[in-house]
Amino acid sequence: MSRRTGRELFLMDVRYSLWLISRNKLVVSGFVLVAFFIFLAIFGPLIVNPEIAQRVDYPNQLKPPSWQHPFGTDDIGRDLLSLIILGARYDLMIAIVVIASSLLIGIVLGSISGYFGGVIDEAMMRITDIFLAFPGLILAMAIATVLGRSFTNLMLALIVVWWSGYARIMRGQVIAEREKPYVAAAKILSIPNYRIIFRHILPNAIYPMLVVATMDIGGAMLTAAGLSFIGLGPSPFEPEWGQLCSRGATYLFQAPWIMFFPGITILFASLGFNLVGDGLRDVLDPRLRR
Amino acid sequence: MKLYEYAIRRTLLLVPVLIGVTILTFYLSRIVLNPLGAYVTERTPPELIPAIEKKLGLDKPFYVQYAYYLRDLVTMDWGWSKVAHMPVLEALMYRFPATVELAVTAFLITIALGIPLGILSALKNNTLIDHIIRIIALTGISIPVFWLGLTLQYTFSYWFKTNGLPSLPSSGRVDPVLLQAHPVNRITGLMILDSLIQGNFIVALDAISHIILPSITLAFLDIGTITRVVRSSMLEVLRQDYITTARAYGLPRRIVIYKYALKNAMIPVATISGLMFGGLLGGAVITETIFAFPGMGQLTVMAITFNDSNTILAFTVLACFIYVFVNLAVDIIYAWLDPRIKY
Repeated sequence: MSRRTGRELFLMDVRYSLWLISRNKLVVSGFVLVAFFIFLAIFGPLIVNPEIAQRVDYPNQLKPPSWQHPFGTDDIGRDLLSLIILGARYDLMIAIVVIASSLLIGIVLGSISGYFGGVIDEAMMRITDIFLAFPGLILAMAIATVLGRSFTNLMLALIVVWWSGYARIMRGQVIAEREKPYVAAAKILSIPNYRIIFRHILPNAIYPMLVVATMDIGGAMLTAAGLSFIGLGPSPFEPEWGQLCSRGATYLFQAPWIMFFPGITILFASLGFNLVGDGLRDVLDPRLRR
Repeated sequence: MKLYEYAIRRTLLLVPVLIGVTILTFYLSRIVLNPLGAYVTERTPPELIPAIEKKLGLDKPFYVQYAYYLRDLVTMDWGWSKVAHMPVLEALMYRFPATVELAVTAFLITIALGIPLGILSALKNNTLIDHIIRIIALTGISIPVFWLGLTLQYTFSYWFKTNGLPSLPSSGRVDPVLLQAHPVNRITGLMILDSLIQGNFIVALDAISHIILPSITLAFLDIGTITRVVRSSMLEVLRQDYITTARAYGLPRRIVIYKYALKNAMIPVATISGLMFGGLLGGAVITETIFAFPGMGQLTVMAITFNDSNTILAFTVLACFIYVFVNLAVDIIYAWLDPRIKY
């Protein structure tokens, strides 16, 4: 039997991972959901004309679901289905930007902290302690209020709340890697520290972070929509899902569909990310691979 | 190290954290935000502003202001709440019992449903029951709380009512008319407990019917989390050698599970439920708002609408302190539960 090359082994690994994923119907449906919402976020404005969708149309206000308006219309006569399609951009973007930025901050600070140890580590961990001491939603709420109501400030507030958890996990990962022979070897070859951290340690330490981050995208989306619901989101005319729900809350008994459809859309979107996260964990967890 | 030494050490470690927390809230309230906001309106004569600044200590350098801020925190002078028309601390304390009542009810529901569901899911691993429970749990962590609250409110208080079915109240903590007819004295501030102590069952029943929907809304989210933790922890324990040994000795399955596996599987559950309770006590901002439940969270959302930063930041500090101290208690209980932990 001929020896397999690294590339062949890698392809086998990928194929095996894909097989593990495809075996689980729930995870596959998660991938489908996520793909669907990402499609809407990218192509939303091509499917629905934003100008027409956003136009105020009082004669058509509060119309229940029908063939013409499958999800009904809102209090100023806009078609809810179109608004929800346009809103995918806002909710997915906020969740992905928040998680990606927090992940980046967490990776950089966590690996510096774990690699160098000592005073730097001690100082950074005390700072993360402070951020972890707050209940997340409440700190984000305070920051978003103080900064003022806007889409960017909402993202900023969430990033401030979110990065500390990642820094902690990353630090733990790097500490576990730091003592391994390959790091010692790299040091003897006098490879600069930043290169050891980001080229040698990082690829070995990053997988658990990716799983946690994927599972957090759903959570970030829910938190953002929740803050937007209590009035800390983008301006009231932007079709963000939490915002639409909060409009619907005003007309709850008169026109329940305004609150129902955007809300259930959030449910499916965050469910999609959580299913994918679960699946990734199964694939990357070596104990479950056997 | 003894347990009490660990407890003392852990408490002392909190001091720098709490100082950091106050620096952060000080930064938010004095530097990012105009602290005059709560005391100045457009009708305030401009010549009075320097005097107000002086009274609030805003003419002093920042470190002096921070010292004032700490002094005010410790002496319980948390400023004036524009929304509640009373001192912030008084407003929060007045509403705190309602939040506690809601938190405790939701927590009890979570534990009562979440733990058995998690155990069942682990024991029936990879069967239909397991899949159904896992889907419920995943939905629990994916559902927007405001949507769940509004949907329950619409279904059980509006749709049921219009269709002549027995319905639940949609908002508030108790029917004010009923309360006026059967007054309840404020002893603990917990409406259900107070009315029960005073033998006022009509009000107690009404208060219970008011708390059902908001507490189910809150509990549903945490049931998802706790079920998942119980399930994975239980599966982990069932894989251990000592369980196989116990089974090999011929002990009945039920005894092995409930006497040997469950105890160890509950250790991580204790931590997570402690964190949850701390979070719940900090106020269910969104749920309280939807059900007009007069707790601290609802006050804070009103404060957001009226840009009342004093109230919001005071609430942030208070929620954080509660959270930190509940965590401390959990850590100590955890160390006591699990002697393997080397502090």
